[in-house]
Amino acid sequence: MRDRDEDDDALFSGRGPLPEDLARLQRSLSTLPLPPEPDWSARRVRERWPRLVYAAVAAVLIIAFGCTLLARDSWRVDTVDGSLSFGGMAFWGRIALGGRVATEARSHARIEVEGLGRVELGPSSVLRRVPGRFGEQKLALDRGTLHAYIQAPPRRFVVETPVGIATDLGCAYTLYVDRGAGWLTVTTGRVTFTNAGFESFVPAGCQCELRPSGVGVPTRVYASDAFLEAIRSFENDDHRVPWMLDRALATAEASDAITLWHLLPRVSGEQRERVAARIAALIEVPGDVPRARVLALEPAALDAWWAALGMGDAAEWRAGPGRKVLRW
Amino acid sequence: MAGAPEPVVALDASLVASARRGDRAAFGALYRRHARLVQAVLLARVPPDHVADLVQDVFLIAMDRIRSLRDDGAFAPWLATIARRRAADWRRRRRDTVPLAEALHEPIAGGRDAETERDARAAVDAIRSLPEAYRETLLLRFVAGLNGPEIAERTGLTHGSVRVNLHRGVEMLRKRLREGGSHA
Repeated sequence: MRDRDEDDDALFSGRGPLPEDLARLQRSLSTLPLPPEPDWSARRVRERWPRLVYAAVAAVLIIAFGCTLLARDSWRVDTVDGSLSFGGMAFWGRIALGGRVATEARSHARIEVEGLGRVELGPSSVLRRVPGRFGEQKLALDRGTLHAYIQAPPRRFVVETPVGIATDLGCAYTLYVDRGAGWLTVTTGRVTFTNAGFESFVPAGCQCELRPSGVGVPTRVYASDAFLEAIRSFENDDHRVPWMLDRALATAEASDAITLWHLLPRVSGEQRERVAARIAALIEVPGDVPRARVLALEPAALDAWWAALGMGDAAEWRAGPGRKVLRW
Repeated sequence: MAGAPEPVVALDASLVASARRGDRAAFGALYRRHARLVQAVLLARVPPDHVADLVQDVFLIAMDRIRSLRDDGAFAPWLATIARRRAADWRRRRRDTVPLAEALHEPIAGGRDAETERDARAAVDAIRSLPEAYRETLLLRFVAGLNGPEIAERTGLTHGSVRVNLHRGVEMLRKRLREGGSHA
């Protein structure tokens, strides 16, 4: 008689004979027919090309989708004179986000800023489309001249330069930069320009020098030559020539108060006192704003004096008309 | 019955390497070595009259995918996995079409003597009536002719689990066959 452990060992390890009933079972089941062996040599291994085809189709669809998106978001670039060169995401006379367009020494380009207006690019200029904040269209002018004609709501069109950022408040203006300096001239509307902690509110009829140390003060295009020469000399010499300030203050007219107002945070001490005094002499400043607060550069006091210039609310310059204004 | 696992694995690895390079004879050798394994795995899950077609399906799938097999020595467990998935797929598609009892009573094969055929059908019927945990183990043991360690290697079960499944499964099978009046 077989031992139970022997049976179990034969069942598990396969060593030794199985009990008769299981041996019979195994003989019976081992005769189960197998399907005839296929002719393997006649079988074609499924080629991998379908996967490649799927991948290629997917790639084409993705590229087409991307191109559609780019085309929808791209701006048309027309050559006015000479020839242009494109780089990055710019193709077929269009420039998309990440694209670059450059003009040669004698060429001009016109760019249709979709839904906002038009930009003209002067000779020897390099312009890029860069990401802006939500709802904002942003360009970067690396060098050269840009003329903007924008009919969009304020703060929708922004131009970044190596010496600061020009934010359009609905206007036409010309911006020129080269080797870390430049100038801004506003023809219609308003532009705010910020750099190095300084901000300039530049209304139509004013221009503003741009310098690496901080944006210059805006001056009226038709200010007197004496005033313009004095104020530029004072700024160019980094405020180290006091008599230039004297000359500027002496030659300033009431319409130059906008220039003097911008000068307030850029000078200090006794110079600031004299600038403030000259503004108060040229225009009617608010009587309820102590001059000491202006000299202390309290934002609310400065804004009150700005309002006295008749150029609108300073807060609106910062946030744009009709937008939520953050009061100091 | 197969011998020690190591030479089996080494031979499989060699055949898989050749098959991957397009050697159809090597793949044929793999078929002949493992067709019973696939048959056993499928018999545990689908009616016997559908097993033959599915065995071929499983090997054709394996032929297509053999380049994706990372461990050449793991051909048998990999093949068993394909067979389980193919069976599950078949069951999903045929869930509401083929009653199991009806399928079981169709002839298993032709050309053999009636008694052997009746015995084989009854045995398969009895094993398929066992709880799922025992079915595949017993079919691998008696159809594929694998021993316990080989079953463990191909199913991922521990030796202890295989031993228990075999022991309890055989006890239950004997009981079923006695009740059925044959093989006991």
